[in-house]
Amino acid sequence: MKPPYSLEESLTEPLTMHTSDEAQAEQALSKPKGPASLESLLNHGQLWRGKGQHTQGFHSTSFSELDQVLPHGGWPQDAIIELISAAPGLGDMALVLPELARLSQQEGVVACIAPPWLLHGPMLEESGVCLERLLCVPSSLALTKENAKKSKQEPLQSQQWAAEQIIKSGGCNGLLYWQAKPLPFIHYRRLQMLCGQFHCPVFMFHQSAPLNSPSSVRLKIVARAEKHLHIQVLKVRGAWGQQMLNINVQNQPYHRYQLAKANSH
Amino acid sequence: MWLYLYCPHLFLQSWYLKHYQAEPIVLVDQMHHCVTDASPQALSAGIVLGMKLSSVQALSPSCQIISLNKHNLQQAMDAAMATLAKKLMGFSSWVSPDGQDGVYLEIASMEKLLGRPEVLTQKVQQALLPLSDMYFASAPYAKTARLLARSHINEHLEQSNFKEYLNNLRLSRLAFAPSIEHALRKLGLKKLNELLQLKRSDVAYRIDQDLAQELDFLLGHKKFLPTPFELPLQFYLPHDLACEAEHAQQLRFPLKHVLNQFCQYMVQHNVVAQRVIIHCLDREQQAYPIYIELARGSSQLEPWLDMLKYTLEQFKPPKAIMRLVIGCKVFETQSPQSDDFFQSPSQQKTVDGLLNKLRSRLGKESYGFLHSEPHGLPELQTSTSQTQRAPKAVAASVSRAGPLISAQAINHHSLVSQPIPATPLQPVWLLPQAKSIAMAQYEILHGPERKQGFWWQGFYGYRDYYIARYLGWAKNNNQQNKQGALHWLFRDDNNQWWLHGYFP
Repeated sequence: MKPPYSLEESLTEPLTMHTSDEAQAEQALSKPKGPASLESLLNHGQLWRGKGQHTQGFHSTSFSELDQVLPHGGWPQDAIIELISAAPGLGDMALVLPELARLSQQEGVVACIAPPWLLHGPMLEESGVCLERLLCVPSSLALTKENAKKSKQEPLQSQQWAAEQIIKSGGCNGLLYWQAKPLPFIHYRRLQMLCGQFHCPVFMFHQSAPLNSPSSVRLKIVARAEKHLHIQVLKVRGAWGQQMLNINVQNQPYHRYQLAKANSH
Repeated sequence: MWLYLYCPHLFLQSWYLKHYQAEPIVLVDQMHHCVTDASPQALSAGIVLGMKLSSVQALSPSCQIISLNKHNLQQAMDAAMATLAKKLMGFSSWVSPDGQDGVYLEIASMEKLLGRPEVLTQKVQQALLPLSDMYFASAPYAKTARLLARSHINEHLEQSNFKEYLNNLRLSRLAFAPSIEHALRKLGLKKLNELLQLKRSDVAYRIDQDLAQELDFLLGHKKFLPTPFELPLQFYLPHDLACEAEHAQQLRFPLKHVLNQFCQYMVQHNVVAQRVIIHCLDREQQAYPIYIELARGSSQLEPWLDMLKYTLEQFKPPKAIMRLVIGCKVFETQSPQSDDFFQSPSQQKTVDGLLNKLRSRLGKESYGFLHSEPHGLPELQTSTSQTQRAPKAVAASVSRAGPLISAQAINHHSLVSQPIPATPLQPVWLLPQAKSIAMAQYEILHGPERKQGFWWQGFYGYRDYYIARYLGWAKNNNQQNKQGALHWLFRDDNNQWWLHGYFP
């Protein structure tokens, strides 16, 4: 049985077959031992520590209530973040929009894989998102006859392949990934390894919580009130989860309508 | 010595030869509905250039009418002229198109090989068959030959006699612009000699400034050399395989060699290409094409080899391949590169490599970049395209997001509350098609806001948009749905309610 940290090698290099004992011994000798190997395990997120100091970087979520709960005071920049929303319009995208705007202003692209509906460009621009750097991979990928023939892959496999290639390219600042049904665990694991290796945050959007996933942060949007989002923190790596939060969201979209009402009166 | 070929109906003869020979045919400008060219039969029916389309139909009901917009017409005329120029390159090393209906040929250097101008003219006429209605004139100077040919004077003048011929030429035989003809008549000039004797400053002042310069070119006092025609770049390279290739991967090594030559060709000519076609020929010369297309044009070998690798994974030759033929006709000029030798590598290359991978494995429609479009209707305000446009300036609202903070700085970084971003005014999601809904499931929060398509884009209806809280099935069962999802609804001018989007 292989140790889990050999997965990283399998993602970037072709598998090599070592049949003889000598070859295995040579391989074992060539690997660094002691603190260096521990460092590498920490750097790649393979070893969990109570105070997760191994994280390469983080950035504020722009919501102070959420920042206080997250162990580094913001979104981790090299991990998977899961957002669970049972229905559209509850506010999952509102949590991500400030970070999406920040990532899209850097050189490179921000990828959106399998968005469930059409993204509304003018709204994203109003939020500060640079549309020219927003790369969309549609959900109908490989569903057309031509593409299906060409790729000979299922749509989900194609999306998974695209997600890995996008992170591995090194030109992606962040990835937004919508899934109709949860991915198999091995795919989560591969994505997480790539996130750590290429320092690319991945935001995954679900309708229901996956049974098991190696994500760093898992949030569930429970309900939306007039000025608050009710959020349940299901999992946070490096801190205690299972908390309920009320995130303050100013309801400014209505001022135009209120003005219209005032004028009509 | 220059030969000038004037072909006044080149477009009609090139593209509509059968109609041109058989019946009256006119070319009409789609915007102004005016005749821009007409065949001799149409002209004999009384149709003149500049005539309105309705007049043409009244004069000659059986007349064939070709209506093209300016862009398409220009493209078609350029293609016809390029074809003509290519054919004429067999007779002269210096061929230069003049507008859309004339060509200069330098013939002095070819006289020993092809004979005197009269003989050469016959050879050209033979070569250009079935084109007819052409006028040829040769003279020691290019502009002299041009004036004669465009005036429908088929003459071949030598250095010894051309001045005498010009002096005796009547101005009424020459084709000048109507305004110049009018000015010449007003001055009472009848022969070209009289015009040539006038001071150039007088000609420029009294008649036309350009004409004064043309007269100098006509007599050779000033030198005029037309810009030579250059053949458009075209790469074509056949390659015979040493042994038959039954599997696509066997083509990889020979194709690498061929692509290397293709890239060297591009570097030599300082151009880049985005797409190349490789025809794989079997023993019966049946061709199986492979298209290798990059996300962005490049003259470097690496992206082409990457794309070749992914493309060959999708290609299965039905029969054993004997021969490869690589061809490319469309090239772009190389974009200027930075002078900074020590600049850091751009992320654009990695993005291009990623797009190439997605395109080759998942197809052309596998990705897209969003763009905002000016439109009155929300669903038409966002478009998707394969090409990435240059990013705009940083929006002011982004300044709310602070810089990336390193893990080491966490201990010193207090969790200061960031300013909360303004909630966007529009929904983040739009349904591809609005969905009809029952209003019993919704509670209207705010609205309406009226939106309507622009009349100049063909949309006349209006919609009243509302922000509503979704109550769902719970309301029907007398239960309160506490989720409170915000939906974007509209009511059309038929009072029907539709769901159009979701708020973030």
